[in-house]
Amino acid sequence: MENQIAMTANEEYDPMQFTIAGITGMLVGLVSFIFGIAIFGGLFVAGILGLFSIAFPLPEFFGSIGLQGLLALVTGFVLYRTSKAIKKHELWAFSTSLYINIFAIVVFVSTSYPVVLLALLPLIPLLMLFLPNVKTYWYPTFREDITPRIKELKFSLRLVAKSPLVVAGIIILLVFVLFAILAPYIAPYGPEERLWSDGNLPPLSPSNQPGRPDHIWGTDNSGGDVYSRILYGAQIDLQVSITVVIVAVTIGSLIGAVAGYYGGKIDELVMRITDIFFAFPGLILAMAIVMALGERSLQNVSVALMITWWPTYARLVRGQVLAEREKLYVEAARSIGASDTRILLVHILPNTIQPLTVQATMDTGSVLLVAAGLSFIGFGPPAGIAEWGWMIATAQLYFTIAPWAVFFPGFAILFVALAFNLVGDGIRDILDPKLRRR
Amino acid sequence: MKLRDFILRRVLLAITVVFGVLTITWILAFIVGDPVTMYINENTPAEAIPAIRAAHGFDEPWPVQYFLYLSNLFQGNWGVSGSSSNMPVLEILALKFPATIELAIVAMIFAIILGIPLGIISATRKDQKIDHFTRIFSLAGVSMPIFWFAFMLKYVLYYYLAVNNLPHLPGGERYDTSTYLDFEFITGFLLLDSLIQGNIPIFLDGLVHLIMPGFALGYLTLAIITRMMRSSMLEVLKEDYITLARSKGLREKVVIYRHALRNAMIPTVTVIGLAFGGLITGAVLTETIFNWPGLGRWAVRSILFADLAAINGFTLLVAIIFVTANLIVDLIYGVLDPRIRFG
Amino acid sequence: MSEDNLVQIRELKKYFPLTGGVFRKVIGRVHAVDDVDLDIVRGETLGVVGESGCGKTTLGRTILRLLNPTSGQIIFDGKDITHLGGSELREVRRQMQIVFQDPMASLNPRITIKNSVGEPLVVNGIAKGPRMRDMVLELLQKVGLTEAHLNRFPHEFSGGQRQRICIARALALNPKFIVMDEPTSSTDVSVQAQTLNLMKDLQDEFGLTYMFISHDLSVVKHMSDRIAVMYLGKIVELTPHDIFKEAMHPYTFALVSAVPIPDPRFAGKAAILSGEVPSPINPPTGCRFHPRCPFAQDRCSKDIPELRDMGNGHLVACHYAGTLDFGRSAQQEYADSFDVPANA
Repeated sequence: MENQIAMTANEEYDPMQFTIAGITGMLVGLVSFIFGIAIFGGLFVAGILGLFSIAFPLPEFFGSIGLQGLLALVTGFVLYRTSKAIKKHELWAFSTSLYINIFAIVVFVSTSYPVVLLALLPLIPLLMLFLPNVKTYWYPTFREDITPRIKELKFSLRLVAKSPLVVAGIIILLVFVLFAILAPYIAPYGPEERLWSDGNLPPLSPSNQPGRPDHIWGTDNSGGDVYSRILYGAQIDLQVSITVVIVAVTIGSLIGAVAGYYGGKIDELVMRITDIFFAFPGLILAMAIVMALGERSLQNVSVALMITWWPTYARLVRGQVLAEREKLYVEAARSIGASDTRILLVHILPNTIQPLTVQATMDTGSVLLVAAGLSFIGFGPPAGIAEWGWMIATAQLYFTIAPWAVFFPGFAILFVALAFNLVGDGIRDILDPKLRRR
Repeated sequence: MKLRDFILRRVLLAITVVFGVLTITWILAFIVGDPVTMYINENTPAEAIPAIRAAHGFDEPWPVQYFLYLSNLFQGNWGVSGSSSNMPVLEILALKFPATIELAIVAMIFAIILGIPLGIISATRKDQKIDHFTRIFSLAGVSMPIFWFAFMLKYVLYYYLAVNNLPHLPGGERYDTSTYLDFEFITGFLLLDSLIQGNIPIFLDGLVHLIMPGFALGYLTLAIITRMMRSSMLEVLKEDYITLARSKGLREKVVIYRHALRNAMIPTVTVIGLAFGGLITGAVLTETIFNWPGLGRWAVRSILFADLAAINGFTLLVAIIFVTANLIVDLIYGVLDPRIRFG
Repeated sequence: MSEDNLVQIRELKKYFPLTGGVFRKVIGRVHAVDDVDLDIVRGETLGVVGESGCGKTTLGRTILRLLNPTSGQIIFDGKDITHLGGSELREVRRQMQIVFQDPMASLNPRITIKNSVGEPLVVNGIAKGPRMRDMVLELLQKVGLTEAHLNRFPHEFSGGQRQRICIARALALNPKFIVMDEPTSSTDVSVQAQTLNLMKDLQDEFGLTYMFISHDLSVVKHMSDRIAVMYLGKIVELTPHDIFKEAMHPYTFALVSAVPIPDPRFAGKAAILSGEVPSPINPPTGCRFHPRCPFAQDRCSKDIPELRDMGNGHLVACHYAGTLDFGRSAQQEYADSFDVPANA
C-alpha cells in the first residue's frame, strides 16, 4: 500500500524541488507565525493592562496592526501546513502556497491602510473557494461527507413534519422567541412603565392617555400593561432557562464523560457527589443556594439553577458513555490505534448527543417552571422587573379584583413549558430507532 | 449479590449521602452565607456582633466550625428561628410537619387513584381519542406552574362560586377556624385526630379543606405517574409473554390486569417513591396560596425575613426525607427485581 | 523457537476480577485464559474451537492487547509486546487487526463507510482527504463493494456486506496478523461461504496470518491449517490433522461426536456430552475435563496434564492420550461413507 501512495505523485517532478519548496515555505510560515504572535500577543497584553486602567497609549496606525498580526498568524499556519504537504509530494500544495504567499505580501504591504484590510476580509471565504487545494481537494471531500448527513437530516425533518404535536411545540417556541426579540418594537408600553391611574384595569380597556392603544390583556395593580410586560418577560425567562440548561449541559456532560470513560475512583467520586445533589429536590436546593448567595438578582438565580441541574446531565452522559464504551466499534477504534481523546470525541460523545438533546429540551421547560417558582416565593429578579413568576407573585394579592394579571403570565409559562415538553417528547419519538429505517 | 449485602450497601450509601447533604448545607450557610445573621436582627448594635460571632464559634477555623455544626445538629440543636419569635427550629419543624405530610399524602392518593387507571386506559387504547386526551392532560401537568394552577383552582372553585352564592370549596386553611376553635391536636394529623376523638363533623370539614390543595399539589405527580404507567404498559404489552398469553386465548382483560399490570407497575412504583420529594417541593408553593399552616408556607415566610437557620433546617429536613424515600424505593426495587442488585 | 512463528504466547493468563459484597471487594476471579502456550506460524490459519465461555474470544483479544494479560508473555514478530503502552502499542497494533463477531455493532452507526474504513488511515497519519478516499475505494473493491457504497451508513447494508466492510477496515493498515472472532456466526449460511472464500483469497493475496475463532467445527475445519481446542481457558488439543478423524483428547472426541449429521441413516446417533461446563471461577483441580470425562482416573483429578507432542505436531493435554479407545463416532462412520465409491 505504501507503494501506491508514492505512485500518485507525478514522476516528472524532481524530489529535490519538493524538499526545497517545502522547507522554504515552512520557514516563511514560521516567521510570519512569530510575527503574528508578537503583534497580536502584544496587543492582547495591552488590552488586558487596559482593563486594569493602566495607560498604554498606542499610536493611531497601530489599529491595523492587530488585524495584521491575526492575519499573519493565519497565513503562517496555512503556509506551514502547505509546505508540509509539499514535502509529502502533494502537487496541489505548490499552487496553494503561491496564493498564500501573495496574500501574505498584501498583508505586509498594507501596514497603515486598515481600510484595505477590512475590505479584503469578506473576500477571504470567496478566495478560499478558489484556492486550488480547497476547490479540488477539500471541498469535494466536505461535500461528500455532508451529503449523507443532509439526507438523514431531511428524513428526520420529514418525521417532524408528520407529528402535529411537535410542529405545534416548535411554532409556540418560535412565536415566543419572536416576542422576546421584537418586544421593544411591538410592545405598546415599556417593561417597567407604570400608569398608576390605570391600576387593575380589565383586558381591552382603553388607556387614559390619548393616542395610546388599548390594554389588551389589562393592567396589574401598579398600572403596568400585562401584555407588554409578558412580551418583555419572554426575554428574561427564555434567556434564563436556556442559558442555565446550556451551561449545565456543558459542565455536566464533560464531568459525566470523564467519569464514565475513565471509570474507577473518579467515577465513584463523581457519582457520590451527584447522589448528594440528587438528595435535594430541585427547587429547595436552588432556594438554599440563592439564600446563601444573599442578593436577589437574575445572576444568582441562574447560578443556583446551574448548580442544581448539572448532576442530571453528568449522570445521563456517564450512563451513555458507559454503555457506548462497551460497544464493539469503540474496541475496533482502539484496535486500529485511535487515541483516547479521539475515541471519546469521535465515537462516544456524538452517540450520547441524542438522549442528551431530548433531556435538555424537556429540562428547559422544567428550569423555566422552577425559575418562575423561585421568583414567586421571592427569589427572583429585583422587584419591578418584568418576569412572569414575579408578575404572578405581585398580582396574587389582587387576584380577586384583577385575575387577568395572574392568568396571562401563568398562561405564558404554561405554554412555553408545554412547548419544550412537546418538542422533547417528539424528538425522542423521532430518534426512537424502532421508528427509523435502521 | 446477596440481599443482605445489597441492603447493607444501600444503607451505607444513604448514610454517606446524608453526610454529603450536611456538608452542602454547611457550605451554603457558613461559607457562602454569613452564619452570624442567624443570631442577630436589625436592632443588634454593630459593636455587639463580634462578641456574638465568638460566642457561637464562628471565628474558629473551618474544620472546627464544621465539627461544631455537626455536633450541634446531632444534639438536636438546629438553631433558633428569628422570624418565628425565636423558637427552636427543630420544634417548629415538628409542629408544622404533620400538616404538610397530610397534604402530601392526600395529593399522592389523588395521583395514584387517577394516574394508574389513566395510564392503563391510555396504553390499551393507544392512538385513540382518549389516548390523545390523556397525553395532553399529562403533558399539561408536567408543564403547569403549580402555584398558578392553584390560583386558578382557587379562583373558580372558591371565589367565583362564592361570589355567585353557589356551593363552593373552602379557599384555604386546614379547617374552619370560626367553628372549631376548641379542637385539640394529639398527633398533629387533623383527619387522624378527629377520628380518634370521634369528631365526625371536623373530620369531614378537614377532608373538604384538603380537596383543592391536595389536587393542586397532586396534579404534577398525577401527570408523571400517568406518563410512566402508559410507557411501561406499552413496553410490557410488546413482550413475548403477553403475545403468548393472548395466543392461549385469554380474555384481553385478564391479559392486561393479570399478566401485564404486575410488570408494568415496577417502574411506576419507583416513580411514586421519587415523586414524594417533588410533592414536598410543591408544598412550598401550594401552601402559600391556600394559607396551609405547614412547612412550606413557614419556609417561604422565613425567606422573606432572611431567616437562615429556618431555611437551613427546612432544607436539611426535606433532603433527609427525600434520601429516605429514595432508599426505601431502592430496597423495594431490589427485593422485587433481583437483577437490579447487580447494578 | 524458530523465526517462522509470527506470534508466540508463553504461559498467558487472563483473569477477570469478580466483585461483590458491601464494599465491592474482589471476591473471586474468572479464569478466562489460564496458562496458554501457543505458536502461530507465519501464513497459516490457526483455528480455535470450544464451547461458548471457554475463553477463546478472550484469548484472541488478549493477544491483540485489547485486554491486558494478567501474566505471561506475548511475542509478536520477535518483539515482546506484553507490557507495551502508548505510541509503541499503537505502532504494533497496525500490524495486527481483529474482525468481530457482530459487524453491525463494530461499525459506528453515525459514521459513513468511507470514514469508518478510512479511520485507520487517518489515525495513523497515512492518508486523508481524497487520497484516503481512493485507498478506501480500493479496499472496498477488494472485498466486492463499489463506489456507490462509499457514502452510506452501516444500517443501509446487509449483514454479509457489513462483515466485508469490517474486513476491509482490518486490511486498511496492511497488517500481518488478523484475529477473526467468529466472523460468520451472525450471517446466513449462503453468505457465510462467500465470506469465508473471500477471507481465503485475501490471505493468499496479502500473505496474512489468521487466528480463526469459531464454535462451528466444520467452518474451522474448512478454514484452518491447524486447530486448537479450548476447554475452560486451556488448550486441550492442538492438531494439524483432521479433528473429525483423528481426535486424541476425550473432549475433542466428545465435541466432534456432538455435531449433527445431515443424514437420516444416522438419526439420533450424535453423542451429547453429559454434565454442565464447570464454573470458570472455581475450575476443577487437575485436568479441567475430569468431572465430565468418561475415562477419568484418580490421577486426572490431581495432576494438571501438559500439552505433549504425540508426533506430527499433534499436541494433546491428556495423561492417557493415545491409549484411550473412543470407539468410532457416528461422524466418522458418516465421513467414511463418502470414501467408498458410490457404484461399488
